[in-house]
Amino acid sequence: MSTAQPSAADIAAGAVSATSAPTDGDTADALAQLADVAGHASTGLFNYRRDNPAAPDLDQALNLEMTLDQRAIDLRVQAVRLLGAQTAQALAQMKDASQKVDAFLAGEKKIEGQLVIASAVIGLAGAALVGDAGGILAAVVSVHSALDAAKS
Amino acid sequence: MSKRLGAAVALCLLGGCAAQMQPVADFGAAANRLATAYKPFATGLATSCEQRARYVALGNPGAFDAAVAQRAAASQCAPLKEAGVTAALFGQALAEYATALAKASGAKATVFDSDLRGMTGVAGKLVARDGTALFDSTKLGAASKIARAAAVLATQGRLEVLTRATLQDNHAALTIVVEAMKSYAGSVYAGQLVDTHDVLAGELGRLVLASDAATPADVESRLPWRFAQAAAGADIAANELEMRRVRAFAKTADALVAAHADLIANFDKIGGARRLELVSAFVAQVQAITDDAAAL
Repeated sequence: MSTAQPSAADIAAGAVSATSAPTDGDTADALAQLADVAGHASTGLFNYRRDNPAAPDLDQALNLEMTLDQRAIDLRVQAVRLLGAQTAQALAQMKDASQKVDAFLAGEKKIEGQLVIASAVIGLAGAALVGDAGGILAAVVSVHSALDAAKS
Repeated sequence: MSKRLGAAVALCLLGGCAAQMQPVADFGAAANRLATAYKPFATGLATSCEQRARYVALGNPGAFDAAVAQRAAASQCAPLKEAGVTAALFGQALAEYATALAKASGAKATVFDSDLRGMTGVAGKLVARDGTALFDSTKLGAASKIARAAAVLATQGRLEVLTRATLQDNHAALTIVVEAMKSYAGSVYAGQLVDTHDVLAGELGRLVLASDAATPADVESRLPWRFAQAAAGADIAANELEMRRVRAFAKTADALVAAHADLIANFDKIGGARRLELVSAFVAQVQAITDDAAAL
């Protein structure tokens, strides 16, 4: 049984039909797989041209190869765009989280905090003056409570 | 309640309050390195496409000008360059998030220090009616130290609340973004690398065939093909190295998300030595691959 060498059209036909325009429901991975099919077929056609320089359908092979190259690029671009669209909200949320941390760190030093600590120092110093461990602890508790209350 | 707080203050005085924030810092560092490892993938898509197009041009009939071929390749692959900008956003978001976590976990809870110093200075100047200092330096030092510990404890608590909320609120977003990075790297970029590799490998095979010199007299004319093999071989090696990076990334990005979930689940239990082995292993793996690349 002889196996006829596939022509350029044979190599490309399946790939072109397999990489027809994707639907909205296609995932990025599916689009990437279609791009792979197109790219693989294009490479097959390139090899066909290189290994069969006397073949009668070289021009047709080159045209199909260029079509498939372009389709592979288009599909990969579409896949990335789809990923971008799917992640837009998540990207915005993560950016927002980063800004919240910055805002927190910038706003931590507030006048309320300064006043609480200022008065606490006096209270604690007084407790320390009399050497009253219980008083110190009570003062620490008051500092903690005051700062808790000052939380925004 | 007072005893518990007192014990916490004592712990702060003895060893600091931020022990459970260290794993968050570690995670932030690991996530940042993941984002760094991903960064070249974004530009690599168009670069690989151009390389493939250049090699294809080498095999086409007609006149050949390398500069013209490069310009044509750049034009053909330009849409992928634009797509790479979108792909880069995923890595940037991860890097910003990682940096925010590292900032929160690494923040010094000493924002009140200057106020404490100021008030200690004022208190130090207070004198009784007979002129003796109301607070001597030893007592002032002890009091301000305790006050500082209390402030650190309170501030640290606020940082931990923020960090916990940040981790919890962003887990779904992190998962989506890392999945997008994986899809881009493992499907889109890897597919392009394979396409390019196939053309490179085919051309190298033809160079090897063309290098065959049947007689000594043929050797001279085969030298260009023989020398060209080295360049093609190097391009193939670089392509395969990049593919190894992509595979390492796709395989271990899951570990990063798992570590993030682990941090959330164990935030109250984790100590300074909390496990982040998978992420650490990934970091080591990426580092090893990067070292390989540097050695090329």
